[in-house]
Amino acid sequence: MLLSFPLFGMEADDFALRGFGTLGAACFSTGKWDFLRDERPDGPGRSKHCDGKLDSNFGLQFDGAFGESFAVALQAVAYHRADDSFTPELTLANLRWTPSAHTTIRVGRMQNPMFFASEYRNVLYVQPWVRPPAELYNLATAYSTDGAIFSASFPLKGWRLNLEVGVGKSQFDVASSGSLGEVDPVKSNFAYFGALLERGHWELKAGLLGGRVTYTSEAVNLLGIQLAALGLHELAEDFIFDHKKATLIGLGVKYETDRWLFQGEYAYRFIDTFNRKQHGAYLLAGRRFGDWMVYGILAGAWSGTRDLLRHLPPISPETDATLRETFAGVENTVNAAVEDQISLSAGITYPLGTQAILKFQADYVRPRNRPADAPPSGILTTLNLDFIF
Amino acid sequence: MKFRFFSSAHSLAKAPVRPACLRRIGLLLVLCLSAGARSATDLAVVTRKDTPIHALTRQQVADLFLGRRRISVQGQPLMPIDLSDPTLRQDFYKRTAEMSVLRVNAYWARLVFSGKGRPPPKLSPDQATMRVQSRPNTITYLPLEKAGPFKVLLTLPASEPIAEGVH
Repeated sequence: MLLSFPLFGMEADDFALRGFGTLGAACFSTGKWDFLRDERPDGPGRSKHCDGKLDSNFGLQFDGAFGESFAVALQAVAYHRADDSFTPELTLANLRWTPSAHTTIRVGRMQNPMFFASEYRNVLYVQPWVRPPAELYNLATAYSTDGAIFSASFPLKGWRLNLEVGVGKSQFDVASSGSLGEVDPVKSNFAYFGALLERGHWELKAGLLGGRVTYTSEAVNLLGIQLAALGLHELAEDFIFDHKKATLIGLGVKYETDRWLFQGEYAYRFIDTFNRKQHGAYLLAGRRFGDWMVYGILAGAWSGTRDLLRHLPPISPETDATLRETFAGVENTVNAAVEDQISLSAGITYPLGTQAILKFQADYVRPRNRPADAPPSGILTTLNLDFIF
Repeated sequence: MKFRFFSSAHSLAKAPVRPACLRRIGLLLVLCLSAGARSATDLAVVTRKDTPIHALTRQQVADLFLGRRRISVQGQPLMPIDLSDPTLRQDFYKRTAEMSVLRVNAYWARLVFSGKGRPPPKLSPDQATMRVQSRPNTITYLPLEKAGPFKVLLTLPASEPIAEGVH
């Protein structure tokens, strides 16, 4: 169903109200550790065995066109957020100007275009999996961004090359390590350059995002202050998360026909803090059998986090209690930031008509960090109904 | 080997399979299969006769209808009009872009919900015919036998294979 209506003599085609959503449930085999590290405070593996909030969301979008060259898009999405609410977030609010056949300028709120699915990551209906692989998609420092993006598209030796250059800023919340409902804001300013090459069934994508990130966490900042007071200035600098240099590089390749889907992406993130270098990647292979599609995903995240603990002075029986406490805080913070894990997923999808799709996915997840009494791996099973209207 | 074909025919459950019975089953299967098949039709990509363009390639048509490129004719962009008829639509996208309708829908949903584009208006063949007749620089596709009043920019013959049941 597409709701469209005429306004002030414009054509019905020029305005449209659309929407999308997911009704889902996910269950995790263990309650000892979290299968997915993200900005949210709870979920399967954290606060409950099964959870309907992990992927469930609902979005509405208004599109308007003004002549051939101007268009607006407004989109709000309700999803489970860091403050444990479903308060809708304004995810799109931009003006699109197409001054020529090959160029477009968008100004306003947009979604980060770094990865294949990052601009429509909330619209699970159009994605092959139940959710984007966290190992790679969690590396983006922000998704909703306010700024401007200039796009140019032109043929290149049988391929079509789309270039994007943009600047913007963003702010989002992550769940505080304290009590449920408390959040810490993350702010960033960035410049973006991206290229997409398309030819027939092939797509090749590359993106580079550079900027500055500020993470206002009282607990982390306090560690930085304590380390500075102890004279460990170099180490302290790593824990003062203020206006730190950040770089994100993404590479992707996709081959899709009516029968086959192969897709892979790799990303590298550098932030000039204690949590410096992180890598993420996945490979997806899918095969359609009529309406059914079966697929498998291998994903991994690994870090090049500096071994900061080796820079700490040795602890002896005479070591001051405050110093011990500070060192323990450093150890905990560094370990908590390690998001290394591998996952192997298998899924099956079946469309219900042309605007809904049923998806089932099982993920075998093996993290590097987990509590001592926890099993080394866990299995997450998910059943989602994705729809658009 | 035994068949339970009708729930009420309890006696059949124990009856041996007869050649007549097999013939009926075969006939039923043939009828079912032929009901699922359909005769594809030749399609024509058309515009108004006074639109100053004479031909388009298959790739250009695919790019135009998928919003990948804009084609200008004497400074005015060609405006594609899609059809709501599911059979014609499936044939059109299979022959131009080698994409099933489900993939085309997902493609547009990705662009729309990214705020990067909007699909062409989707009209019935009769409405599309009237729209193209009333406006220059509009372009649509129709069964070839209905293309008489228009300028044909590209013919998409039915003789080319269309994968049935692949979405």
